Parts: sequence; C-alpha cells; structure tokens
Amino acid sequence: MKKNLKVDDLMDRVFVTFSPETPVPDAVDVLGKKRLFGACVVDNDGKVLGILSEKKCIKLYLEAFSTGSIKPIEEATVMDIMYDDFKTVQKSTGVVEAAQVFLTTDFRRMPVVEHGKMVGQITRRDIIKAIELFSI
Amino acid sequence: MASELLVADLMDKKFNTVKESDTINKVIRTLMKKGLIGLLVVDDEGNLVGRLSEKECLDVFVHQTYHALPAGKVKDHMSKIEFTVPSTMTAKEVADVFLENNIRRLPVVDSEKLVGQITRRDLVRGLHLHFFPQGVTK
Repeated sequence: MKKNLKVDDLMDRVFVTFSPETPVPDAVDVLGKKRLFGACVVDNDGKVLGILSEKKCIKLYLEAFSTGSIKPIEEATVMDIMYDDFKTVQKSTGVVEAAQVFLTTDFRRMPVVEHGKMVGQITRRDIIKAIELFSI
Repeated sequence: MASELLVADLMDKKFNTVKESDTINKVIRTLMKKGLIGLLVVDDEGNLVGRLSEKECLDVFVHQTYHALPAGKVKDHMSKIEFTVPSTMTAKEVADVFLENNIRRLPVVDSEKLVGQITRRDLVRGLHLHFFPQGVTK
C-alpha cells in the first residue's frame, strides 16, 4: 500500500503562507510563534512566488547588527529575501517520487500546485510521518 | 550587538539526543513526537559521535520501500560531525559557520564536553528577540 501513496494523501491542506509585501519582522515573528522553519510566498491569486527560509533571515539580521541599525530588517519585505527557485508537485505525484526530490536537493518543502494555484504543501516531515503511520 | 551575543546566550542546554545503538525507527518516532528535524547522536557514555536528520531517515524510507531493506541502527545511517563550536563564540561567528556550510545544527562543546546545541532557528530567534523583545505581531 505504501508504494501507492500520493502527495494528496499526505499534504498539509492548512498551511502558513506570506504575501510578498509582508515585512520581514512580521514573518519571522510568525515563524517563531508557529515553530516553522519556512513558508511559501504566494500572491493574491494563490500563485507561488518563492519560499521564505530562515537562512536568508540570518543574513539580513546580521547585516543589521554590523551596521548597528534595525532599518535593514524593518524595511525588508519577504519578497526581498525569498528564494525564487523551488520545486512544485501535484496531488497525484507519488510519495516516493516526492521523497526522491527531498533526498537529492536541499528543499525541505514543496508547494502542491493545481491549475497554477497552491492547494497544499508537502514537507520532508510529512513524508517521515508517513513512514510512522504506514510502515512501522 | 551580535559581537556581544554569545552562543552561550542562544544555545539549547536541554536538547534531545539519540544513541548510536538505537534503531532508526526509534529516531523517527522521537523526531515526530518532539517536532524536530534532526538530532545529535551519542555513544553509551554520552560522547558525541554523529548527527542524524530527516534526510537520513528519508533515505531509509526510500530504500525500505524499494528494496525491502530492514531498518538499521542509528550508527549505520548517521552523518559525521564536521563542526562544533564553543559556547564563547559570538553570534556573528556562529552565523558565519551556518551560512558558509549550509548546516542547520551545531553541537556546543567546551573542554571536550557536549554542553549544548545551537540551531539556525535558535540563532534567528535569538537575533529577532534581541531586536524585537516584545515580538512584532499580535
């Protein structure tokens, strides 16, 4: 059975996203409160523009420290620091195929896209949960 | 200032570890239960011997599914420790280690003793709270 699992069976249907204009401090606050490592950035139509990751946040916060000014952080938006190279999957993508992407790249999360809109999200953690639920 | 913020201020002194003799399945359960993405591995004496993350667990999953391999022990799958940091290192210095090496978690070792763990998240959270001690959003 586990070989036939699809992304649709495991993906998160409720997930945090940010609009591209979200100020970075707000986004980092939300990531911290919700214990997330990153999130997808989507526009008003649900189209995925990029992925926000804590790695880029470090660079920005350090720059603020070096200059002694909080301004670089306050003035930055999510769009300024998101990654715009990312992979997407479909609901019908097999879980093992999705696992292969996570294994061969540094991506930890992938938006699930249908008709150009984000309908879900699958993370490495979701796949590991599947190991727990279905094979152990 | 980042030069005054030290690893000791940011690190997690209570952190989860697994033993190298544990099974991978146990690690997966620990990761899920505690909401973690990785762990440090110790031997029976509590000495640091490696690290293990979701990525290695995924690798096991894929091979189990396709090749019906039995799940092994942590020591069969863990990655070696490439970097450790002392608790006296500054936030700026440890940030450079994270950024230059694309790693997410660093053991904190003082006088050859594992005293804590600092993750990229600990660093971001620590820097954020330094600038915005009351938080930002409601």
